[in-house]
Amino acid sequence: MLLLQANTQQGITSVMFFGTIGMLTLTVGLIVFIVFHQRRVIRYQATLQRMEQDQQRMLLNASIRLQEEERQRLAADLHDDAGPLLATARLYLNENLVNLDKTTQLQSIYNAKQIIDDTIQLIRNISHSLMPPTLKNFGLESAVNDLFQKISGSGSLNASCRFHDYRERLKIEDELILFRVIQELVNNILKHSNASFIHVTQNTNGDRFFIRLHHDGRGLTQTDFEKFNKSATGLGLKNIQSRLKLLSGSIYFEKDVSQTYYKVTIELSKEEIV
Amino acid sequence: MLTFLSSISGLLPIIFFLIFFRRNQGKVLWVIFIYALVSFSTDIGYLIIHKSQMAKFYIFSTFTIVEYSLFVLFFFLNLSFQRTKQFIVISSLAFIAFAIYSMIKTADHKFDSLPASIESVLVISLCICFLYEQLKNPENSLIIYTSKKFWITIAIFIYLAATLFLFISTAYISEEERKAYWPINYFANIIKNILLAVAFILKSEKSIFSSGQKSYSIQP
Repeated sequence: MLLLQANTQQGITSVMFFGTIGMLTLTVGLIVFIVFHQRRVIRYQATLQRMEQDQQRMLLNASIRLQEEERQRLAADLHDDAGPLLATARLYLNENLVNLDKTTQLQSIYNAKQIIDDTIQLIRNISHSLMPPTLKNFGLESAVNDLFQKISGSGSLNASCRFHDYRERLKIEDELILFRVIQELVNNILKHSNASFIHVTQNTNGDRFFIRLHHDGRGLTQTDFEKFNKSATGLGLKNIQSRLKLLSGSIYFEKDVSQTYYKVTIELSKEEIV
Repeated sequence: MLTFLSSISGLLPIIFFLIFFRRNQGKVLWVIFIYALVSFSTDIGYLIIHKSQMAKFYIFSTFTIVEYSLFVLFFFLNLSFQRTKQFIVISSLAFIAFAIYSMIKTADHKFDSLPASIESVLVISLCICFLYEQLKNPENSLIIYTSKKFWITIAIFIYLAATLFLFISTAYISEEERKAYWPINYFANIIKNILLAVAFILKSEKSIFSSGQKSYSIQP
């Protein structure tokens, strides 16, 4: 159109000159834009990747620390409780026992038996803390019920749970992970929230498996949770995160719409856990 | 002198393709190598028979069709959007038919201004499509200027952008004026050949995120 309007040779020359300059400028501008834009995108991707790696490293550290703490607790239980008990039982059953009179012998054996019974109970408790027998034999619902009965029995707060759609048990290792997550959440509530009730519900929706935990104490929101996850503190929360990562699950902390209680929602895929 | 330099610059991509032959494997690069051979042969042919107006016209017209076909093949092999590929097929058939018709029917045998201009517009559109696709593709974690295809596209883009208005104007100017402005084409041709040579010199492409990644496994 421009060329049609340019009647004179001078006009054609101008159109050609400015057209060529304009096209070259546009081309070079476009190339420069693409190169810089792509560099910016790559930098952004690299930052995201670095952040993800940092997050993974923190979760891994938290997981290792948890394992170490668990081992230390076990070592302490065995060393401080089981060790002295067995040593005392050994004292009662020492070689002088045969030289003592019948009544003293019977008394010593009885005392040793009592101590060995205590030790058996202690070792059973340690074993139960590692793998709750209720969970192993009867499933998650019973294990959570059992835990809540003990908590309610203390009288400090009322804990209850209701599983709406739990006809089929999950994989045992996944139930244990889920139980540990609930245990950690409940522990946090007991330690920090000053709540008067905890209520856990379970239900499913299509392929999704939900566990919801409500309490009326001081709680966390998702922002708080993410802040703790990125900071060096909040080991328990990081463990929750890393355990749920194993189940490809997610967790969401929120304050209820009524603003009266806090809600924690754990969401899992049924395909992953059944 | 400039004519000679422009023609001889066509040797650059050919030489570097052959020197770095191992780096330049793949259909796409062979298409451009064939283009470089055709372009160089045409330039040399032009130098030899530059006094025959009719022969020049037929050489240029045929070259326009071959050049367009090779550029389009390059983009067809590179682009992944189905709609763009459909556009390429339809527009190519239409363009080649038009270019052949124009070559047969043109009476003055000066320069195939209209087919050359349409070719430039179509190929520039494909260059933009290709660059857009490179930006849009989230899996494309390659630094764009380490890619041979990027340099080839830039070579084609700059060459056609620089000569578009020259080719359009050729229909409206005299032979003397055409000779006066033709150095634009020579300069653009030299730049194109240098950029194609750069593409052939570059090492094979590697993703920047493919190495040095660490993964962490988490124990329960």
